[in-house]
Amino acid sequence: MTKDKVEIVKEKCNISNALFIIACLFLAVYGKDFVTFPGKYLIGITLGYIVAVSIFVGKIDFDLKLLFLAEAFMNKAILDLHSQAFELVPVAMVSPVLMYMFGKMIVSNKAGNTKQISVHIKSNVAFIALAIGIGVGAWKVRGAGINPIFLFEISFVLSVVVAVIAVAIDRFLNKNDLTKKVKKWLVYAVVAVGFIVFIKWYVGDDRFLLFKEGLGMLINTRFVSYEGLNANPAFSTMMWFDYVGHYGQLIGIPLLVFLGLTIVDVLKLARNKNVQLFTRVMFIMAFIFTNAYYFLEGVPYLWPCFWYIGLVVNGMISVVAKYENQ
Amino acid sequence: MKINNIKALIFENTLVERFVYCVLLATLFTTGLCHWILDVEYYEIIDDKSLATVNLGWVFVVCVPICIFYLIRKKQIQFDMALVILIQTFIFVGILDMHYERYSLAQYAWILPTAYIIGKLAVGTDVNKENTRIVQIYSVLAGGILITTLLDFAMNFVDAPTVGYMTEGWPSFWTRGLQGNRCTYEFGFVLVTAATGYAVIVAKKYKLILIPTVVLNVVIQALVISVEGRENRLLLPINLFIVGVLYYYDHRKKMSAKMKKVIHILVAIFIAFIVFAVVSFFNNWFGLYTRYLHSNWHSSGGVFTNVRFRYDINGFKNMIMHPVEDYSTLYKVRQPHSMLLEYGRVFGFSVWGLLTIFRLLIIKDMIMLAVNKSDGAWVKYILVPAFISVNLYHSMELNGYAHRYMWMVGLLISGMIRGWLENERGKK
Repeated sequence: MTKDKVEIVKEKCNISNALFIIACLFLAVYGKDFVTFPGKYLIGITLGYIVAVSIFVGKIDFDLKLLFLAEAFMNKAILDLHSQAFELVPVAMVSPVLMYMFGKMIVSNKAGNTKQISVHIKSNVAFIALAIGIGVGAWKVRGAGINPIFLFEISFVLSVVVAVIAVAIDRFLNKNDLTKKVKKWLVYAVVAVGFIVFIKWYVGDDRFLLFKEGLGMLINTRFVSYEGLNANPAFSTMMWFDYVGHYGQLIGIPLLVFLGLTIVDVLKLARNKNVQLFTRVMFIMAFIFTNAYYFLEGVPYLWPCFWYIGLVVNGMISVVAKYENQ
Repeated sequence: MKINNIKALIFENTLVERFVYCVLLATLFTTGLCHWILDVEYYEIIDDKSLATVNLGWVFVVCVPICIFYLIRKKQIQFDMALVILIQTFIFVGILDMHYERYSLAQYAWILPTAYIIGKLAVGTDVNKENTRIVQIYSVLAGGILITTLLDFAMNFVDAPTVGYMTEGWPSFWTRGLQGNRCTYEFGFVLVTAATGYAVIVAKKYKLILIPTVVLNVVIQALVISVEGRENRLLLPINLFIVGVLYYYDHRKKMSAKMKKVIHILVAIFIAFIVFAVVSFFNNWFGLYTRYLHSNWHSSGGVFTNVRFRYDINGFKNMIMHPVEDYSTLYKVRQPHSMLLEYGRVFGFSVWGLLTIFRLLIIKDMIMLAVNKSDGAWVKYILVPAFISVNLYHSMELNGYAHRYMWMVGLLISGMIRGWLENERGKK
């Protein structure tokens, strides 16, 4: 029995969907000026949203990444407290965990509930809202020139564009029987070519020397004394190695484990055939662009607000990767 | 051979389990016997470094496989919020120790939670045998520390006929030449004083427990009176009172009406006597107050108006004013005289807050044991007084921070209480 369109719309008018729409509006507004958004409001809004939505979602699956992230930041907080860097303690301690859970909560649904908007539509709409917000923010500073921060902000709109192109190419290739079989090899070829080009550029760049120095610090710096904590902030040009070199192995290694587990999540998403191609390509391109920025620049260590956007995307990926048709 | 057969052969075998249990008891006894030289800072104090080759880190390398063995036997882990808070707090303490560059003290970050875990796991899963195991572990622990303390007191009495007893500090038996404080030496007697009530109650069934306990208590009181220590003198009546209250609470329904009338009359007379004594004390009838002022009960401020309380309140206020600095070295304030406040002084307000939450959770566990009325709950007559005595001691003395291994006794007892409660929950 097919339902009338008006009936479907009436069924979906309830509180959890209203909360979702409010969250998308918040993402758009936050994306517009995320560099200057005050930390306390961020904590308050995300915490309130998580508590409110958890009533409608029910039980949440156990997530190992969250434990590693929370443990690393609690240990970092006690060190910051004792080295008298008081401004870092409250916001930096809880914001990563809250942003990650915010990303998870926007997209998750209670199993078997038809009154909520489906996960596909939720993830697409949330990501496009975020991209629109950041795009508008980038448009306002377009006169400053092409610098890495501008490229980071453009990359969200770019990933939506790439997803649309990918769906178009997929439809074009599906018309012919021969090209259907070629599709898989085409994807592998593109990925391999992109990887080789990146490696060739990176080894020739200055950043590679600092990468090697950072690797040495990972193995040697077990614990940093208090003089080291207040010394020159950003050593290398990689955000993860900055955490390691500045605080020691005990805090850097859980973060690197967190990075590895997010990569595992993305691979799971790429192989999940239940999710639309558009959603998959969009999220994977966003993950690649944001993590390339964290890999190549030292700015996200000094201003963690750049990392929070990536954490929201990671949260959404971790829920969509497990999606199964019901 | 399949994996399940090998697993059954190693972990389910009773002979292997008895061997591991004996290793655990031997480790506890010898740790208590030599605890002065196992201190991790002993290596840095002495000149002849070849004398200190084993320290507490080595002892706990032995205990960790024992923990893993018992964990595999237990087959399931119940969520324990107190343990989560304890481990996280000691990770914080370890991180801060490493950043203050006191590398030898950082080992305590894993030694102290291991004591709690061993207490929880060594109780076992067999409900019929857990009570005897608790008594065995307790007596081994108490025996080791007792022998060391008796030897330490013997060092005081070597020169006593000519010089008189030293009452503030004297060299200990193992670490010749290093002074130890009288209050630190008294810790060895606390567990024996706490077991007196239990020995009196089970005297009908186990006659052999009562006589050594009473003899030891008499010896302890004689030794402690001669060096003018007050802690054991106060703890003995407190422990007997606690055991009396617990016994009455357990057996109230089974007593006959005549017995209840007798007890009520006795309690009324006792309360009247206490009121009379307090009133006569404060009004100085029979010259009681003047005699109190001139005796050693009044040294360092008296019993209820001790200087320790003033130092504690001062320390707490300073800890709130300077939550991340060591106010004692910077502002020349006297150290507080309580273990948790000392942790708060050195490591900050957050560590003190987390340890206080931990303490409230283990007090909740103790109360759950005390009100439990099932058949096997007679173990509360030995665990509850011990818990209260050890924690009262640590609230009054600061050697729980200066020699951090002294808290392991209290953590072991709390772990045993928690293990007993988890078996109760699994019974249902």
